[in-house]
Amino acid sequence: MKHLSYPSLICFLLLVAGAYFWPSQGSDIDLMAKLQPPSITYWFGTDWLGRDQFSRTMKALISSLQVGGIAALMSSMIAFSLAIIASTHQRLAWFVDLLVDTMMSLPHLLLLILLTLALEGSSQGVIFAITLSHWPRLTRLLRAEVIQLTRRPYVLLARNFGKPYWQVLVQHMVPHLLPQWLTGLLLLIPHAILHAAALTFLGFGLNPNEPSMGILLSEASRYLIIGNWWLALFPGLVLITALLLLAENATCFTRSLRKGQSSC
Amino acid sequence: MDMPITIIASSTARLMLQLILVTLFAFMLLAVSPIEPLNYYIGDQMMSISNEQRLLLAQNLGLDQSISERFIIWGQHLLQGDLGFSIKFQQPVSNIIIERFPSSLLLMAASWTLSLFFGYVLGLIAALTENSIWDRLITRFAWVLASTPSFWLGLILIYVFAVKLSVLPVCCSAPLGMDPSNVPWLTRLEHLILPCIALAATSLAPIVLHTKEKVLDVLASEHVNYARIHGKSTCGIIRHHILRNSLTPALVLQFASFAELFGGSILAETVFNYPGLGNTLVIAGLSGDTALLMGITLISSVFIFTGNSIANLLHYSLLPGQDITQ
Repeated sequence: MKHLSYPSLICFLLLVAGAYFWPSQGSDIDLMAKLQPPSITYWFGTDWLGRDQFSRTMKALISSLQVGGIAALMSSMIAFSLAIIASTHQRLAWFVDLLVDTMMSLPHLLLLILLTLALEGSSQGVIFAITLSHWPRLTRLLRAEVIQLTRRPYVLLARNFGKPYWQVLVQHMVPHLLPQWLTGLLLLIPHAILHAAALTFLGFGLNPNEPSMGILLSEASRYLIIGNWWLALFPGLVLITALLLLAENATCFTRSLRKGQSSC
Repeated sequence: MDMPITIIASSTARLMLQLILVTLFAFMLLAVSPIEPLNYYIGDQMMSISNEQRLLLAQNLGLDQSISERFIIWGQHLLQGDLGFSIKFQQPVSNIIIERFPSSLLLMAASWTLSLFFGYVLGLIAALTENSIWDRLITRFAWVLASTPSFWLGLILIYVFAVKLSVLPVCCSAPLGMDPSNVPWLTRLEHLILPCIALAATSLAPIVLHTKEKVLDVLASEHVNYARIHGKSTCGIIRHHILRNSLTPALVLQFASFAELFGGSILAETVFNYPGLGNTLVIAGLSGDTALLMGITLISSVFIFTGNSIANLLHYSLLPGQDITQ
């Protein structure tokens, strides 16, 4: 496995495993210990109900990764299918391009707000909204890739030998597209997580009782003015760390695929 | 020069088609959403209204028609300059937009310029000192910024500069209780600084990384090598080769990212309670004010189209043999 950068991959897996297996859900209310600054017992301090902010951050991280991961996976599958569909006919290509351009001419967040309103703000609603709003960029990338592939000699030869298009597609093009698709998916995950957090921060979607990064931070924003900085600082730092590790792994993977060697 | 004109004409036609599709799409999303405009319209007086009165009201508001009919009516009104009536703010949507768009525009323009300037300079430094400690620091910094949620950065800025140090105001675009139209410029600037930094920070990373790549390309090119062999100084190379070849791509990227800019302004304005269009959009969304949502969607897509068109024109002007600036 020369495609991976071990330190950042191990760090990321440790972080996720730690967060996943962390015993406390962070939902225990202890009014005697409310709004405590960080200490040895409460690493990240406590909120206004005395809930341990560290446990809440860990569980929020897991739920954010889940939402982002599932949404990115579905979104990249839409992109893959559309890129393939567009390659079959001129008309379809025109239509897909128009669809991509149209979707990309709305700000992500605005599109997300409209989608969550349409889908009713449930946890699934957020996932679907992110799925339905994040495919255009990857579709455009994969389309360009498909167009290049169709001009390659072996694809042209296979077609000249009279192979039906779908067979050329499956045998010669899909194997080349899959790595591109995978890197696109990996690079999409941080975006999806950030946008999910932003959306819930604004108050759309996701149940406020389940900890998620956006909700944690939007609650923290109310306590910032009276000086409770730890509620906002630590969850944000954990989120940034997780996203940086993810991005590091994704770019390493992309780079090694492109150059054919490990460069990390 | 008929080539650019056909390009402009065809891209304008496509943009118009996209604009119609975008608004239609947004309209459909809002139409299928469970938002019941009538309930928001009636508000607390729900119990004091009979069923017949509800039906009559729905007829008056045009809610009994199909989605396509409503869209056509909305379009007709739009052509007459009427964007509808905001239930939440109890005023015409166009008034709200005219009142709030300028402050959004000010915020976005300020942070756009800020991120272009600093992003370009940082990218240039990183490329010129490739593999040095500066390069590594700047590239790391850009990566960290790219992973930082802008609203979180906004919260930290508020805490440090407004709560702890209390050198800058916590929120809004003017001191509480003051009429925003006659606030002195200096006070207004004070209120702009923090949201502007939070918004600029998020759009800084792409421009830094892009500029770095571009400048490295130019540095590795033959004509720069040629100039260097002939004893041209680094300053001269920067001025004559690098600036010319990397500033316009940076500008293209920056114009093409109006969508991210607008999206970021939604968050920045909400965190700082800055009374612009982004903040209004969130209020409209949370209170189910469909007319206002549609109005803002329309304005934002026109805004983004403008950016994309400028980026396209700049891009075409870069292509060899098609100098459309002359």
